[in-house]
Amino acid sequence: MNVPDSNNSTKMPRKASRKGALEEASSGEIRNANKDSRSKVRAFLDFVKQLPVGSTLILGILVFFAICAPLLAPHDPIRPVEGIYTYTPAAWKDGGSWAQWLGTDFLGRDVWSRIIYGARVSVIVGLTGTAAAGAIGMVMGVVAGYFGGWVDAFIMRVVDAWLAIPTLVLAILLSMTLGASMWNIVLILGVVYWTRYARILRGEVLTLRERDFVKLAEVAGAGRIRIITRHIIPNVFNTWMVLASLTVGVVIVAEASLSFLGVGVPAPQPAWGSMLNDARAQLLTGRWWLMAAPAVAIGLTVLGANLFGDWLRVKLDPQQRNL
Amino acid sequence: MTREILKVKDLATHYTGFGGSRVVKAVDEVSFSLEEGQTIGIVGESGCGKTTLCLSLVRLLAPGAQIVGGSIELNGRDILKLSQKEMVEVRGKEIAMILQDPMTSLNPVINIETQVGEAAFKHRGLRSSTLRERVRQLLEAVRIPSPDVRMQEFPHQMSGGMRQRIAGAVALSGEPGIIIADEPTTSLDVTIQAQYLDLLRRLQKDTGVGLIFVTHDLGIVAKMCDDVIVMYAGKTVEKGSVREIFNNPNHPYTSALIRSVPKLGSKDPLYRIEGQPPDLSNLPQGCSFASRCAIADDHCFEHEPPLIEVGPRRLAACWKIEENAASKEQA
Amino acid sequence: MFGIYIQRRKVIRAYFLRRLVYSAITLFVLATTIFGLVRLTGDPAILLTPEGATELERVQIREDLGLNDALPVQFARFIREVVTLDFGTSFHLGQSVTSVYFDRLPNSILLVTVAMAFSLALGIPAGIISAVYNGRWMDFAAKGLALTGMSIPGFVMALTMMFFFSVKFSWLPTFGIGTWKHLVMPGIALGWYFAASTLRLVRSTMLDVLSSDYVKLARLKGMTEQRVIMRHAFANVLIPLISLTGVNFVVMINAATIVEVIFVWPGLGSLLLEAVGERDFPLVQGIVVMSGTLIIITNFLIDLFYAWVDPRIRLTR
Repeated sequence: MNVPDSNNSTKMPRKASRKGALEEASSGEIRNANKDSRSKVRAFLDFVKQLPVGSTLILGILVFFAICAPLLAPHDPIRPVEGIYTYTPAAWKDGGSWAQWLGTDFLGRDVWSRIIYGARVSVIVGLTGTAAAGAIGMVMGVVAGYFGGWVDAFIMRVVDAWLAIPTLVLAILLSMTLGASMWNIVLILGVVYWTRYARILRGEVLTLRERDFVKLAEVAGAGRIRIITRHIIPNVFNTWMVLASLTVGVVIVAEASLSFLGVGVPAPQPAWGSMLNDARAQLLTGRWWLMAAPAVAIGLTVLGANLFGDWLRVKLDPQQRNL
Repeated sequence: MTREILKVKDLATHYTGFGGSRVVKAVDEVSFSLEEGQTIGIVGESGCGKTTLCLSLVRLLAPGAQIVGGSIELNGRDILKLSQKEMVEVRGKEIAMILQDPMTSLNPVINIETQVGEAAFKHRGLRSSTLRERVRQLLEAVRIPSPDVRMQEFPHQMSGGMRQRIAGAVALSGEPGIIIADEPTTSLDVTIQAQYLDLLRRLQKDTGVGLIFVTHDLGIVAKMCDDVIVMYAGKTVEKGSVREIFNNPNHPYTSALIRSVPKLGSKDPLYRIEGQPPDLSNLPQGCSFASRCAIADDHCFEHEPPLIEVGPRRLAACWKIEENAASKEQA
Repeated sequence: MFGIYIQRRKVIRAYFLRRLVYSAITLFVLATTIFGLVRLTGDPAILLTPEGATELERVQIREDLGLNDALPVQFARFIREVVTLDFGTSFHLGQSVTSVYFDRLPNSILLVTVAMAFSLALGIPAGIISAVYNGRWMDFAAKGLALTGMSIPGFVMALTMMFFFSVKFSWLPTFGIGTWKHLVMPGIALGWYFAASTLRLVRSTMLDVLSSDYVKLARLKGMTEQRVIMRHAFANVLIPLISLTGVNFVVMINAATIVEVIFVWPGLGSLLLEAVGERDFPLVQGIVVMSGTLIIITNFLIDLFYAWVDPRIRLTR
């Protein structure tokens, strides 16, 4: 009979090949791992390459300022520069000096150092405020969309009511009752800006709930928590990211507005909004550079955040819905 | 002899992209003429330049497309020589069009009366009660029940078939001599298709309008048209009367198209044309159909066949016309 | 034959009623939220009295505000205040909150109207031009305008204008209310951002609409380019534009606070901030509730207008 023979003959090489494959696999694994880390590096480089240049640069510098503020700032942002009277003009004005190239403010504090430290407030409040709003909005939106019924109706009415309170008024009211501190501002902005996430994510979840894979998971007996964490949240995450990226600019402006109005980050701590408010009184005396510095800082930051948000939206939301 | 209202000669429309480095010859030297009350069918697969041809006739091409040669004589004058401003007076008045998808071709926020009456208002100077009466007539003509109510409504309140009938009324509104129908029944239900074709034929009989009927469906051509132009890769490959083309196709592409029409009662598997139409920006040397042709030989791949007269008012572009005819006689 | 009309009218009435009920519920939730916020975040008496106040003063405040009553009693009283629009007397002005509110309201409405008019007058034409000349230099200019509008906060804009137009060139009064000149800078500062958002919406919607089949058909009918753009295309932009304008109107009332403060404009925003500064609790509460009510009413009217304008509206929402 030929059959076992041929079987045998095929077995032999197969064994050999298996052994070879094993060896190859072990060496290949190393090679693969090498390749893997290299491809990871390459993937990262590709990712970096396609980032929008302008906005990434602006935001990068901002974050750099925020992290390295103590190293970069030439002076203490809170105490007056020694031996300097108030309102030293900027370096390009008569009587100005490069030591305080943006001048000093009404207490003789170095404006440039305050700008650098002010980046901290904007970055921290911008990111954590957005994250806080996003977290509240995610929970509310997913719960409303997934459970539906009266839960949904109730949450949506709360959203309506929230939208009816002017955001800044709500923020002022809250900061008045909670007291002013940077972390209270974060909390306040989170409580104020969650509604947009909730509304849009709820809509997404409503359609997701009708999709086959969610139905299948339900039929298979998966628990609600599991469905939400495994199926719902991963699928709305892109939308969440886009919303978050578009909210950062709004939150930064809101913080600056609150600080400008004097109900934001409390006094000695440098924030661009309160610097602008300090400089406002000097407008009539013609010391415009005091105002220009924080104004440019705020404008550039928000511009960077908006450009980055637009870029991310095009990338993650190809249908370009009006979020 | 009826009057010739449209004479298209050697019309060529090209798309240029990437700074002129890529040229797509969407319409290449197409000629035909249309008489009053006549229907001419333009047949071909999707992407063969039918729609570009239609839009060239009204000079409403997408940016990037350009008419690069030929002439379009409409009622005795070459409209290619008119400015876009003058074209505004031609569109809707002398030549109108029915688009493919009735769901998107009517404006959702303008009522039917305005949409139908617009062209009559502009081109025929009708006003107030006369205009309304005209709209009512047009809606009646396209068999819209209770036109007085319907003309106050909006497109979303109507079915697809109804909307396409209204699109017909829109086309007729300016009393044009020619209507171009670009696959007007493709997105309709089969039962409604037949109704719509009947309606178009009746309207044509009543108004004497010349119809240019664009379709990929030879069954519809057989039903509707007097003459047929078969287009392939932007070029005319065969032209003639419907009867002759169906009885005696001279181009292998035409015969393939005819064989791919399902026949009632026939159990034979449906014939399908192998392969894809060629890339219009990168046309092969020789006959563009050669790669899909069953009878092509080396000569076909190397030399482009000219469009030659093969009978009275009968043109075809194939090197194998005689062989083709012979093989058919055998069969 | 006319059945479809009667049916539509019925649908609209049902829609109207549902919106009305929704608005009422929203108002109730709003009032409850404010009530809760005030009571949950600590003893108002401590917040309301200046630092170093005596216990007697606090007791007096609690007594004045009725804070010693049981919560349901307080809540019922608060709801009665909301319904009758009577929020008591302002601490520092000594007048009734309602009358102070309605004294200032016209100023706020004037400012918001001017700002809205400015934002629409700039945003709509710029958006249309940007879409019609898509990809040309005018489009780039409009896009640049939109980007700066979205990125420069209103108060930065306000201070910049103030520096140039009042301090440097003395063309316009620095602050206050009176002539039309007083309205120019606050109007632009407030309308600035909204002009940008209007521009973006008009541009993107217009681009969609201009590539649609029905615009092609309008051209095929021999309509002039002007009519194609203004009648056929713009009519379709109008609906999302109305809804954006409604939302913007609400946001604008909010954003007005800061502009009012900068230009010392005697509107509701500056009144509120003043009330916060003076710890004038009845006034703060009254302004928030009444402004919220105003916004809810505005939203309700926008919904109705929307239903009236858009023939396609899905009235079942």
